[in-house]
Amino acid sequence: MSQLDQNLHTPMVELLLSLADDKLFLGHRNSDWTGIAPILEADIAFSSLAQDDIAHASAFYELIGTVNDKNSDQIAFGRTCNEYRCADIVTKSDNFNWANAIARQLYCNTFDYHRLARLSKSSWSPLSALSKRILAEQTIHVDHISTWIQHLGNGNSDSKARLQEALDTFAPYAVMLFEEPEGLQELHDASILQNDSDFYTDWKSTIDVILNSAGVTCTCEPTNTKGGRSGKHDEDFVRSLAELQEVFSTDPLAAW
Amino acid sequence: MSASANVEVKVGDCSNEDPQKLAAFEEHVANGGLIEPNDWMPEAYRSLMLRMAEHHANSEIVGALPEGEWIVKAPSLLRKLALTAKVQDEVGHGQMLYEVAQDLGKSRNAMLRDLITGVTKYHNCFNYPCPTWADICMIAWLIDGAAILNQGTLAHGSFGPYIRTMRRINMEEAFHFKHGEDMVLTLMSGTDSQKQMAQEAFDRWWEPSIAFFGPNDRPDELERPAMRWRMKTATNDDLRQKFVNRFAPAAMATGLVINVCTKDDQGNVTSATPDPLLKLDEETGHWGFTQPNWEEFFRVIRGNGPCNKDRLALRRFSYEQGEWVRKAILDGTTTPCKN
Amino acid sequence: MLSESRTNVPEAKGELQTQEVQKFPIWEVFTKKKESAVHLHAGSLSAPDSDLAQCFAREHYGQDQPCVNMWVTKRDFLTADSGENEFYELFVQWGAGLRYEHVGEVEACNGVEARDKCKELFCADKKYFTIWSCPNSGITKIDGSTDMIWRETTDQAYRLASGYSKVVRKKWEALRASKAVDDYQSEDLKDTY
Repeated sequence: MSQLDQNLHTPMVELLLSLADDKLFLGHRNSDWTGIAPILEADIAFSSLAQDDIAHASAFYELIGTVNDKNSDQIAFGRTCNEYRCADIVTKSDNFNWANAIARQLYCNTFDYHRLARLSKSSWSPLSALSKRILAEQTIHVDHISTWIQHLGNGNSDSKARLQEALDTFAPYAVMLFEEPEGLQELHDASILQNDSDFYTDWKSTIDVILNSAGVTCTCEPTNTKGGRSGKHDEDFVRSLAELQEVFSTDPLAAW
Repeated sequence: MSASANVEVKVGDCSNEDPQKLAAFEEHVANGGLIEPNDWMPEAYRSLMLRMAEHHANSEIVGALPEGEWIVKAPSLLRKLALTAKVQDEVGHGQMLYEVAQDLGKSRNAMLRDLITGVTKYHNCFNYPCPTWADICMIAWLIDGAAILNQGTLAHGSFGPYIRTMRRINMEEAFHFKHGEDMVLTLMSGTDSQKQMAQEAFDRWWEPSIAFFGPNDRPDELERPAMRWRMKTATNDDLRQKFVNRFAPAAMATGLVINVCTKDDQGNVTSATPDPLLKLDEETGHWGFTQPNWEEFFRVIRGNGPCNKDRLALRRFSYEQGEWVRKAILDGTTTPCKN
Repeated sequence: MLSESRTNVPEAKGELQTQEVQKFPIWEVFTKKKESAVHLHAGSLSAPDSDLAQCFAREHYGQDQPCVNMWVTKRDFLTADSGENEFYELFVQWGAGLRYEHVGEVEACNGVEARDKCKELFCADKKYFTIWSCPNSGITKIDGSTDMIWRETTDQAYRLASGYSKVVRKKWEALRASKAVDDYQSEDLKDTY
């Protein structure tokens, strides 16, 4: 089905914003490592993933634009803080600590993988088609981050300890990725998306397999707290948003 | 981004070489011949090529820092992507050049440690600040533009691994430059505020761009090892003139004014007056121009520029923060390689 | 305002407290631009093992332009004299300054025999500069059609000069005569490699 019912526009935009905002800000934070990562080759590789995420976000902002008739840059750059729908894990400061960067990547990349796999089955064809395309690239991210988890977990006792600490620090933020966008139920009810109770457990299984082979763990519990998907953001997000909008906001209507 | 190589070796360093081998080498190189890693080369050639590759590599990874500052502030999705890719390319260029230098006899680790402790140098222009978005646009147009003129000639040099690396670098440089043009042309057809920001950034970057090619040629430039052994294939002044001939009329066509500027210790422009020498000589086809302030150039290169300390501090911090990672992945290599 | 990653950085002073970490082994990477092309040597990288070598190779040598297939191997294999009885991939550098090119494979007992066979089979009447041989057991082969390297599903024009050429040309022509733009652009570098 290629036409989306008018009264599903709002919940669809909420859903797409949660995905696009997650990817935009994950790419935004990770792109900041370009030039200053621990190993030149790792720097180059990590930057590729950041670019992918920003490019993926772009593609979803464009899709949103076909629904609400807005320009991608205006959507990406032009909202107020409480209008963004990303989970705050994507902007939580990594304090220039590679273990934090890798732990966050693991949680987010695997979440995006499972989310895109589900959206690939949407009955709204523009969404399923785009999600399928992006999913093919998302696989690269999951493989890449697995390699890093192996190497840090199985490196030496120091790297294992640092990785474990990072996994523990970011775990409570990771479960917030599962906060549902507003109106999701309407999309389920209209059969745009399959109702799906296994999303969290599928993600946790994927994480556990990867972490197991590296001798580290993730301890977390799903939660009903309201956060980023409801527009409630923390200081780190506010700071990231200020960076993102710093030049844009000097003239939001100008061409750059 | 490139180095304008003014690293020197004393010609006398060849005195210990077999005269026959040396003569054959020099004839081979003078006739356009190429040198590959297993070929015989005088020690002075090896060490000069190493220093040149090292300086170039250092410049790439230091150059990544000022531009890297603006990645998170890029004002559109396209600019975010393009600037990230550009800085990523520069890290890649550094990586490839360190590999060339390492194969000439100095480990990457030793080179990184010499860089962050101030023993070895990098391109002077990166010691200047980038206070606005327009600075990023001007760097991509002018500095990458200067690098292109320089690197186009380096790709015709004599050392195989270096020139192969230059070909890949130049392909990416072509993207950096086109994107830089796009950004500058966008600003100069934008709002008054954007045009003003662009002019102020241009005032900051015109002089470092013409200084990019290095100090004025010495009278015996063509006989000096870098030219004689075809590591450089064009002189500093030739390239500088070429740059002005290309960019002066282009800048003026966009509405930019080419000023002679004075700067304070922080790199801020304190006065700007149109360059009185900027005229086209119809006979030679060359544009006259005011030379860069060479006294300032040398003052900055010696460590007293606005950003020297910041650049080294960030490079060093990055290196030190990353030590545990390098150690971990090395320690973890106890299982035999799959392939 | 600098991003948080780049603030609060201490001044670079005094002796380095970090130890110098030993060098990683060197790996060589070969890439194929399209199905009908042959593998060409793309460059080298430093990595502690083949998993990371592969990971790095894909993102450094597989993203500058389209790449459908990639081979990664430890440098030592390429010039080794010793070896086992197996198939060896062969690479020839036809002249100084040129990139190694994959010419084919042979069955051989060791590196020396593989390179000798290469001379016989692929270089018989031709001048060549150097030959590399690599045992198949020493190569990681990545097939882009099942294991994506170059991002085929996202538009990469943003990182290529060709992504800007038309639009930039148009913007210049709005300001300058065509001939002036031609002259100016004659200094542009080629955007293929």
